[in-house]
Amino acid sequence: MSQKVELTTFDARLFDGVSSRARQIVVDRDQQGNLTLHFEGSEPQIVLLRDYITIRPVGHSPIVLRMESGPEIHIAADKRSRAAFGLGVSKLTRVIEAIENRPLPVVAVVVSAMCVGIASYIYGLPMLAKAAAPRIPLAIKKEIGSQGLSFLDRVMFMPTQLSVEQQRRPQVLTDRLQEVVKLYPEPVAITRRMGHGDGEAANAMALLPYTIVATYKLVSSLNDAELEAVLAHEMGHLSLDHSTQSLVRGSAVSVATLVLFGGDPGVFQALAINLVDSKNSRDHEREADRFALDALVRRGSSPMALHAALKKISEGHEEAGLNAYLSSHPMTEDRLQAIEEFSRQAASPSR
Amino acid sequence: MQDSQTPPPIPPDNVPHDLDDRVRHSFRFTGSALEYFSIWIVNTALTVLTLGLYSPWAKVRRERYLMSHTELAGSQFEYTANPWRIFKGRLLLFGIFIFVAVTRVVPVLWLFILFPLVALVWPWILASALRFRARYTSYRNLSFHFIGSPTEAFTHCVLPKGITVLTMWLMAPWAQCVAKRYAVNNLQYGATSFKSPVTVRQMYGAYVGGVVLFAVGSAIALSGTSIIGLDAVMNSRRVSLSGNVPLLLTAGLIASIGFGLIGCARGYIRLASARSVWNGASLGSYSVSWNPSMRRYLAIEVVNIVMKAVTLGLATPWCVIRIRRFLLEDLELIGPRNIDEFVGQKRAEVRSLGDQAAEAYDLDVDFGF
Repeated sequence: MSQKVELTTFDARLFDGVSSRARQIVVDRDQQGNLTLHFEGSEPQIVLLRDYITIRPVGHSPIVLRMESGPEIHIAADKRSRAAFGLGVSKLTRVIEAIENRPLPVVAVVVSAMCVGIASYIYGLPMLAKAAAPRIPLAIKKEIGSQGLSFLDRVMFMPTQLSVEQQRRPQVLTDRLQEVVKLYPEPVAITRRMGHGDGEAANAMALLPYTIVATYKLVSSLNDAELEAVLAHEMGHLSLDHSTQSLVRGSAVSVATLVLFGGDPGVFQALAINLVDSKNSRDHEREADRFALDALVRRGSSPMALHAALKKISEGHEEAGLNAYLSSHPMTEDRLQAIEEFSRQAASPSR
Repeated sequence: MQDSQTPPPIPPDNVPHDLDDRVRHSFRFTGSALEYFSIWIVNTALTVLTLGLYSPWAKVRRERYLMSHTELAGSQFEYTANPWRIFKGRLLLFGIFIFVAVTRVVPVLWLFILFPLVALVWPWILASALRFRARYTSYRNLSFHFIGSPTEAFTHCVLPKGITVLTMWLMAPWAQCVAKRYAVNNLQYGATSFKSPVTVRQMYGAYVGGVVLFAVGSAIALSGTSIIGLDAVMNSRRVSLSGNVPLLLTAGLIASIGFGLIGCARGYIRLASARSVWNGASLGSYSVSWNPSMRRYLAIEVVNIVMKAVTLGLATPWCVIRIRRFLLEDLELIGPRNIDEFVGQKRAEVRSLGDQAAEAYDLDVDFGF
């Protein structure tokens, strides 16, 4: 059933589009869509509403009736004038306006946007990263890897003080693992010194696309089986292309914050990248652990070597509270439990 | 029946207007934070839901709200840009960005082909952006126009920037003055041009004030951070808060005041230079009066930053409305009572005269307020 619009009268302002002069007029709108414009001291003029584009107000701005090459009529927006002139706008504008003017749709849109945001964060980003990482050419990964290593050499690493034989140990163990893992390109294991005195770090890291860095303290404090387990973990990062995935995720988050916060996202960008990356890094660590355990079993080594290595590395480090969420690695206790579980299953006859 | 594209016959206006009756027309901002919040939050949410594709529509709604609630002599400003044009412009920009990002890995190509190309294209982009912004802003059904050419953009904006770099930024205020003159003196309302009274001396004044604030802020921030650093070194090899807590809190407060002043330096230069550009500017027989208080402006900016940080950005609409209302409440147009002396081309003629290509680009280039 169509709603009947009665003859309605409005005070309005007319701008002819030729000069900035404002004309106070009275507009009558009838049911057929005719407008009668009453000017002071002149005869009224009849025009057709369909010759005008109706610009609906945003907020409490006036309703504007606009003719493409001519005058504009401004009428104060209220319930009556909205009913009389709320025509001729796109569906999209009407939907947006309907959302903006009612609190419930605003809340619904915000909640659904948050759901999409969270879903993208949990599922979308890792999926995008996994899909994009293998498509990045090896030459670019090599360039990023070599620039990363020279940067770390400048700001963090120092030459190692290990004997030549000790320096070769990580590479020898890596080559042995390579027999079962068969990575391409073949991994290269190098050693560096990181930190001083008490702060010296026993650590290892995988750099794009095939470099594994083992620190002086790591090599000198772990036995062959333990070091092999740590190297298997790092080979897991290389095999699963975790570094490239991190890069893709970081880039996607940068673009998203740029869109949301404009040209100068600054602190929002840093925060978002950090939060997204630390959660996904923890997942990567679990994946790399799993890869290492499988590799060790295939090599005929004990998976508990990774357990022992982790315990040695984490000695003296306390982990608690907020760290659990912000850390790039899962809690050591959780990782140790997962390794024990794996070892039990590997040892059971049903496997 | 009347032809659908023929304007209705408008009878002549016989009401006499006294041109000698000069008054102060105040600008008014009638928007409210709550109203703008619903527009802003829906814009943000839809931009997220559409992975950014909605952003041109969001921009048009935002600008329409802000413009249509800016009132002068009982009439509102209008923003009439078409979001599809902005969308196409952004697609093109994105393409250029990808092209530059990919080709940058070849330094020779970048140095000898792309860099000169960007230097040549930049003035054109600058002039197009200013033209776009003016063309789609109107008041009383008369559009603004920007008539500056890309060649002038090169001589007034790009070249002075280059000279500024060569003179170790000593000539930055001069370059800014030349660029502002280009932006304002080429701006027209209808067919009437703006004229800015800005002088190089005023611009140096704005920059010197900003630099002094920056220097004082840096000294204070440095002393605060030095205390924290020294404490860290004396108490432990790693930076920690294990030392003297009251001392560290005081040092943190001192450093924050310093950083606040550094932030204010930028705001000082922005407002002081904008004030010298617009206060006393003329438009036909009208003149602009604009003298907002620097202290209040800086206070509002500082509170806005704090509020945005505390509310994780949710206070943004409130901040936007606050600063806009403050900046407009001091703005006045002094001249004849009835603002009806301006004439201009009709919208259709403007379109045919204008550079069609320029309409495709929406590049907001910041030229102050």
